[in-house]
Formats: sequence, C-alpha cells, structure tokens
Amino acid sequence: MKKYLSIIFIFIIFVSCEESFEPFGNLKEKYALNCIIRGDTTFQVATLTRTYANDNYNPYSNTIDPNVKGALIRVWNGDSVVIFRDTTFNRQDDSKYQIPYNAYYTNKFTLVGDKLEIEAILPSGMRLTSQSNIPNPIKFSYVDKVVPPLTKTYVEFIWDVGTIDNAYLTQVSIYYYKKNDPQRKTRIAYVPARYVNQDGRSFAIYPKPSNNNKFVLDVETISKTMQLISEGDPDKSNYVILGPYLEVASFNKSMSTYFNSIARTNDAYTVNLNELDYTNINNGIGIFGVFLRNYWSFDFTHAYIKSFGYTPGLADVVPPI
Amino acid sequence: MSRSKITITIFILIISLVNITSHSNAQDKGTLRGFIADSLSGEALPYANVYIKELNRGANTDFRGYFIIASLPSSKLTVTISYVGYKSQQLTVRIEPNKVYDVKARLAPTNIQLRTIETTGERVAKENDTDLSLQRITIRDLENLPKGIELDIFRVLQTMPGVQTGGDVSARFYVRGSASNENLILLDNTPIYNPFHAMGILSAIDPDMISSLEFYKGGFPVEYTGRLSSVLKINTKNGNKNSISGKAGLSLLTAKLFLEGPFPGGSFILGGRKNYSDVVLKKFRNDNSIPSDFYDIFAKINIADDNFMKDAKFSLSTFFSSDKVMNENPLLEDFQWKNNTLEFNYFQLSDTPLFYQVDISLSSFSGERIPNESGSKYMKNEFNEYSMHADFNYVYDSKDVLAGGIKITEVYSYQTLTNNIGQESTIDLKGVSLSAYLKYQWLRNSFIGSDIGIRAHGTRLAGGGGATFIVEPRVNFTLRLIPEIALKGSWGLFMQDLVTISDENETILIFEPWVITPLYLPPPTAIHYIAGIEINPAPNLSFDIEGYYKIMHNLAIVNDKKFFINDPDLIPGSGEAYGLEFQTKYQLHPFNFTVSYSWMKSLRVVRGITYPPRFDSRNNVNLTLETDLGSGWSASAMWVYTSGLPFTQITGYYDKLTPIQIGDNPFLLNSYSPFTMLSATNIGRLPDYHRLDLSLSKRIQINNFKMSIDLSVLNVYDRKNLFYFRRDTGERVNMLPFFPSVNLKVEL
Repeated sequence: MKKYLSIIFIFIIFVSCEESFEPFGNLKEKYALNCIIRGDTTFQVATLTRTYANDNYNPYSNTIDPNVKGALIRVWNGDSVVIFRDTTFNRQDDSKYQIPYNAYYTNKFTLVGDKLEIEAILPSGMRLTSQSNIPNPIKFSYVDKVVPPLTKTYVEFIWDVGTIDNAYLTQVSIYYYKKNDPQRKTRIAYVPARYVNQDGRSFAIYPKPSNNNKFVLDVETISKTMQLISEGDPDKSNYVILGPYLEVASFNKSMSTYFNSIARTNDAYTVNLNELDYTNINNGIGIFGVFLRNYWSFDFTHAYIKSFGYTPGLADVVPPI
Repeated sequence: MSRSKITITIFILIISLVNITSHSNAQDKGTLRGFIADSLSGEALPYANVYIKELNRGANTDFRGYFIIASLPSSKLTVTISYVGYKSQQLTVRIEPNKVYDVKARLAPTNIQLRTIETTGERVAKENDTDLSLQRITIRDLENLPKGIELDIFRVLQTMPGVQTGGDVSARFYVRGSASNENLILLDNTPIYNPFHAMGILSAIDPDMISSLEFYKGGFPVEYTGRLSSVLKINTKNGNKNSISGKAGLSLLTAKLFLEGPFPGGSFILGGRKNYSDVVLKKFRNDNSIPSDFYDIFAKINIADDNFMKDAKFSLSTFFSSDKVMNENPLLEDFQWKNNTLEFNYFQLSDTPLFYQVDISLSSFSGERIPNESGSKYMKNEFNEYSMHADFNYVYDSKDVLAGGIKITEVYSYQTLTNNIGQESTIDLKGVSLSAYLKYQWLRNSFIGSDIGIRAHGTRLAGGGGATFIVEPRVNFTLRLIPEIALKGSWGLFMQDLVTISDENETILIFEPWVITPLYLPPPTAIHYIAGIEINPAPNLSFDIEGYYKIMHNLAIVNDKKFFINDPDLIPGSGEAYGLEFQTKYQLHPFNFTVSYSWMKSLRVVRGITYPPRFDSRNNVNLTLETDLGSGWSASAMWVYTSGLPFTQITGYYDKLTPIQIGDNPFLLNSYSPFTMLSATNIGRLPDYHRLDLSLSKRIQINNFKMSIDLSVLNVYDRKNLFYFRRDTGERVNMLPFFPSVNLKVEL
C-alpha cells in the first residue's frame, strides 16, 4: 500500500509543478523605417531602428539603443530628391536609452506634387523603400466662431469630405499665459473630447483618429478644461486667455491605416493571440506617410473668460445670433 | 443537366428500385411498436432496450421513448424491456400479419445509480445501427461525473475523443479540427446560436430540463443541415404526467428552480436559473472580476391525449436566456446578449408503421457591445430564424426505413460594426432556404445496415457562389462481421449558409455574431470521410476506433486586416483535419471505467498561408472512473490530458511609432513603445494541459423527498495550466487553480 501511495505522491509532485514555457522563437532581424512628413514645415525627421531580442519577458527592460546610424535616406518629392542628414537629438526621456537619439533630418523640404517616395540604404546595403500620396487640405464648410454660442450647448465644426479612407485627428487647444511670467511664455491647455467620472475621479478622453468629417465639442468640456488651467491657484486673474483653436490633422491612406492599426483596442475581456502590425515599408517595417495640419481659430467672449476669474487677452467678440 | 440534378435522379432511381423489393418481401409479417416510460413520472425513456427472446432481435427506443420492430412473424412473442436504473419488464405479445401491435410499457425505477443492471439484448438492438460518430447520452449517464461548478453538458462533450476545448475558461467545443461555429446546437428541433453564459464559461442549457443528448461528431445524416462539423441535439424532458414535483438547486454560482407536473391531457415543465455571485467566475480569469449577470428560463407543455387525437403528441416550448456584463466603470465597455426560442411540435403515429411530425420554430439572438469610453467599438448583432419542417419515417416489413422531409427557413441577420476610425458598416441580409431530403435505410439483413440520403436545396440563405440548387448526398454503413465486431463507414457533403464574425484567435469570445454568408463569399462546404471499427468482446467491455478525414472549403475567416469600410469583414479560407480516436468502456460492478485517446491534426489555409488553428491539440487522453459506494454514495474521478495548443511565438521586438497625439511635440522622436514581432502563425506549442477532478455524491431519499449533495474538487493537484502569456508584460496567466465546489439539490 505504501508503495502505491508513494507512487501517487511522486506523480502528484511531478505533475503539479508549473511547467516552464518558452514564448520566444529565433530573432527575426528586421529594420523599421519611420518617416511622417508634416505638410506645414520644411523640417522633417526619419528614424531607422533594428529589431532586438530580450532575455527576460518584459520588452521595456531593453536598454540597448536599437537606432541605426550611417544609412542613406532619400525622399523623392516631385522632380527633386531630398537627402536626410544623419544626426543626433537629445532625448526627452532618457530613462531607457541613455545615449542621444540617432535620427535623420532635413530642413529643406517643401511638399510639391501629389506623391512622395522614400528610400533608405542601410550600411549593410539593405534597401528599404516606400511610397505615399499627399492628402488634400480640408475646407471647413461650417464652423462655430464664438464660445459660448447663444442657442446651443456645444460647438460644431464640419469640413468637406476627402477621400473615403482618409482619417482625421482633431484637437482643440486653449492658449494662455501668466501675467507674472516675465517671459510671458505661451502655454497650451488641450481640451479632451469629453471627461468621464469614475469613483469620484475625472478622466479626460482625447479624440482618436476618425473618418468623421465633423467635430462636436460640448461647452461643458471646454469649461472644465478652463477650470483646470488654474486648478489649485487662487490668483485666477493672473491667467490671460488668448483663445482656443482647432487643429484637424488629415492623414493620407497609409497614415490612416497605420493609425487605425495602432488604435485597435480589445475589450477588457478579449485576449487576442495575434498582433496586427501594419507597414507600408517594402523589405522592412515602419511607416512612411504624410499628414496636413489644418487650423481654425475661434474665440471666447470676454464674459465667458471672466466667468472663471481669468483675464481676456484679446479683443471681445459678440456671438452671432 | 447539372451534376446536382444527375445525383438526385440517380438517388431517386435507386430508392424506387429498393422500394419495389421491400414490398415484394413483405408477406404475412407484423410489426411491434411501443412507447417506454418511467412509471412514476410518465417521462419517456430514451434509448431503452427492447428484446424479443424467440427471435434474438431487438431495438432501442428513440429519444421520444418510441420503438418499432417490423417484419415479425405472426406468433406469440416474449418482449423484454430494460433500461439503466429501472426494473426490467417482460411482456407477451401476439403479432398478427399486416398489423401494428402497440405496446405501452412503464418501467419502475430502482435505487441503483449506475449502469450495472442488465441491458438485455443491447448488442442485438444495435447490431446494424448506422451510428458511426454518434454518441447517445441520457442525463442519467452524466449524473455521476464530476460536476465542477455545476453540471454542464458542453463540458461533458469535451471529454469525448475528437472534441477539443479552448481551456477551462470556455465551454465552447471544437469537433474534429473544426471551429466552434461549425457545430449545430439544437434544443429539440430549434437551433440556438449562442447558448453560453458568462462569456462562454458556462452553457446556457440547464441540465435539469434535458432528457437525452444525441451528438454526431461527423457524418451526420441528411435530416440535419446547415453546419459543417457536428450536431448536438438536446432533447428536453416532457414533465411528470402523474404528479406535481419540484426541484431546487444551489451551486456556488447559480440558484435554480424546476417544476413539473400534469397538465390537462399531458404535462408541463418550467425551470429557471439565475446567477447570484461572480466570485467563482473570478477563478476562471486569474482573479479578475467578471460583473456577469445572467439567467435562463425554459418552459414546455406537452399534450398527448388519445381522446383529443389518437396517437398524436403536441408540444409547445420556449427557452429564454439573457446575459449582461455591466461594468459600472465608464472606461470599460458593457455587453448584453439574449437567446430566445419558441417551438411547436406535432408528432403523429399512424395505423401503419409510419410516423410523421411537423415542427414550427423561431430562434432569435441579439447581442450588443456598448463601448462607453473604453475605446473599443460599438457592435450589434440581431439574428432571427423562422423555420418550418415536416418529416416522415416509414418502416417497411423488410425492416428497411424510408424517411424524408421538407424544410423552409427564413433568416434575417443584421450586424453593425464600427471600425477604429469611426466608420460604421452593416451587414443586413435576409434569406429563405427551401430544402427537402429523402433517406433510405437498408436494415433488412442483421449483419449489414446502411443509409443513403440526399438533401436538395431549392433556394439557399446565402446568395454568394452562384448556384442555388445544391445537393448534400450522404452515405453511412455498418457491416457486422461477427456479433462482436462491426466495421462502419461514412461519407458526406455538408454545407453551411450561416457564419460568425468572430476571430478564432480571440481566447475569450463574449458572444459570436451570426450573419448569413455575405454575397461576396461562397458559402462554406465540407466533405467527411469516416471509418470505424466497434469491438465488443464481452457484454461489459467495448472498444471503438474511428478515423476521419475532413476537407473544408470557403471557410469564412474574419479579416484581421480590415481597416476601411470597403474592406470585407470576412475572407475565404480552407482547411483540412484528420485524426484517429479510440475509446474503451469497461464495467465491473461497482466500477465503470472509460478510457479515450485521440490524435488529430487540423490545418487552415488563409491568404495562401497554412497554419494549425488555435484548437489543434494533437493528443488527448481522458480517463474516467465512476463507482457506486452503496447507501446512496457514489464517487468519480476524471483525468484529462491535452497536448499543448498552438501559439504564435515571439521572434523579437522593435520600437514602434505609437503617437497618441500629434501636437507640436517632436513625436517622431519620442512616441515609441516596444512592439512584439511574431513568428509564422501558431508554430509554437503551449505546455501540455492536464487536470484531475474528483467528485463525491450522496443521495438521500425519504418517501418523496430526495436530496443530493455533490462535492467536487477541480484540479486536485493544482496544475498550473497555462491559459495565455501576456506579451506586453511577460505575465503568465493560468487557468483554473485547485478549486473545491459543492452542489446541493432537493426534490419533492
């Protein structure tokens, strides 16, 4: 009997152990080229990184800089070719990689034509290429000009529909400065799409890329952002409000697709065993795209600014009826 | 003439020819027909054995409790009726030529819980049954298995060879390498589309309302259509015809009530179940909360009154299940989904060996994902199926059977999805399917049985793929070489018009949205080739070995690269699956021992890439031991082993550009986060899964008061079975840990 019990005991000990599991296969060496051309500036940046392995399971623990130096990056823009220079930038956050950021840039870029091509030749001779179309600038067809409007509790901005697959990312910003700042540095408060309350705390929900050619923002959300500008500061009049403006970034198809792929969100319960990784880089990974920034400036009435105790920084406006 | 029409013409010619020979053989023979029921409740006894001693012939009752034995010589015969857990009964009948002799037998239950009493003539009854890949299960068969949280019929199926599971967290089942949406689940005759509670952890079918199950793992006959893989037919109880009785049950998850009793001319049942806590559910999700709220209700009225209509039976039943996952947190999404069925059935015996039935049913499903502020997208699915079918079954004097039927189905499916850039797309489809089938069962020789059947579709629900006139031919045979050994085979073509928009790479499916196959895709089809051998060297010992090969075309695979409104939701794929299954059962009082092993391989081809699907577990072992300890005590043990499921390996990382905002910041330099590079799909394997469950039950009966207590311990040795691995954090998420559970049931 003892013999059988011993066998059962050994069996249980053996099988109840947590079996080790190796989630890694062999490293697939690839290169990621990222270049997103901004339509409103001559300064453009491209980055080139390599894939890396990691000994432990946490990918954030890698501290070896994966940037690739010494590549030749060229962009064909209409009939001209622009060469991106190899340089280094200081990092905003050096907690992970302690050395400066190696990247490629140009400050002589002006968009022409309707199509761009990029080529990166790595020191090893490997060639990564991509093409991208240039999106059309948007035209606003309806805008609210003054906050708060007289007859409604929201402001609305509508623009002409571009191609069906274009995506737009909207952002309302409030510009202000502080009187007691000798440099009068302009500060920005970003207005979220809305605030939600959970367990007595307020969370900001920011806009996500969308195909909608319309942006609606509740005055209540703007007011909440206005309050937060000076939260905890009793000297409200120290804040000089210049005004809000709307930025609509319009993406071309590859950028829309890329944003779409990174914006995918599973629900809280679903576990998806696959990862979606969109790229338009031939022979590599990453993204080559173009986006245009479109602005619309609108105004706060003085009465509205003063209702928060702030100081208006621009001339007063009258809301249209 | 098209190939479909040629097939039908040949089939009709064969049947006409065989029909003539059937009649020419029929001279001076009589027929015995009967209905077997429980003496206390009047509830039909499915799959009971009927044996005629003088002729060494027999039959099994069907799920309704009916049997028919044709071609009997005109003489006095002794009929023995036996059933597991009941006292056998012997009757004497006088068979007269060209007449049907009707028997109505009521068996008295014994207190014996296990299948240890005589099942007289069981082997004789099924000597030429064309039952390859078919498992018939009565609810009594399940009562002694470890129940876990509570008895769940879908989890019981997962212990059968050839049935794969997605793990402890899901009651969904995958049959012989096919996806879960290729299983037809019928509640009586009505399909149910999402019969799961709590995101698939529990089935929505309360076992207390079930009389028996018929589970075809493949090669199912032409009566069934609309799925590629398997059919699970859940036959519900009719209710106690003699007195009102009630049951109350309590598990760690749900509380339930069940009432049954006589109704003018028949009987009724009414049952309902409601969860009261999500404490147990947390165990399935690594101690993460599932704010799940669900209930299900089933009601049925049966009328079988010869004064109203002789030999007729009417039933009206309804099933309703509702689930909600409501987070009070606006940053999390909410879900709600509902199943609803309504069915009317008219069953009629005639004075000849003919029965027929008419069935009218409605099945609807609606499901919704409400994203709130979570960032996930709104989704809604509505599905309504109205169906009417009429079937007949005629037994010739030669013992051959001719069966046929016609079915009309109208389906409306609506699906709305919002993609990640806010584009809303809808699939709004309506279709009518009209089909008829004819099946001939050659049963005139005791050593050979075969059925050949064909279903022809005049119109189909799915419009894609051109031809609407399509046939599903199917053939099954049994060849009993000697009484102890039978060879079996099956071949058939199977089609499916309805598909789901669900990603098989998602380990937890909240619910599966059903739609008619969109016009841009041809409907899925499959061909099954199955062969098997059944060996019964002794009455208490059996071996079953089956091998199969299944090829599937036009599988609807969710398009994981749908970025834009014009991109299709589904793309076509193909697949194949093959495997070998072995099962042996041994009874040695007071023990019942079952061993099963299966080996299988399943492959998918999507966008030209071949990979094993997520449920491709190659080796499966199930060991079950049940024992009657006497004095109302019983115990059981079940050990399950599954070799590692496929997963996609990590082949490295890269810093991916992931800008959240495009402001004035130099986002191209600062907005990066590590992103996983993956290997080819599913080329890795997770560690093996195994688990031991134990159960101890005590049944107490004092007059009409019955009580049962079941103590179960799941995962006795606390095996850390891996559920999945979080790539972003490296966290290992395991399945159900060591978990004791208790079930209590009282009956009056």
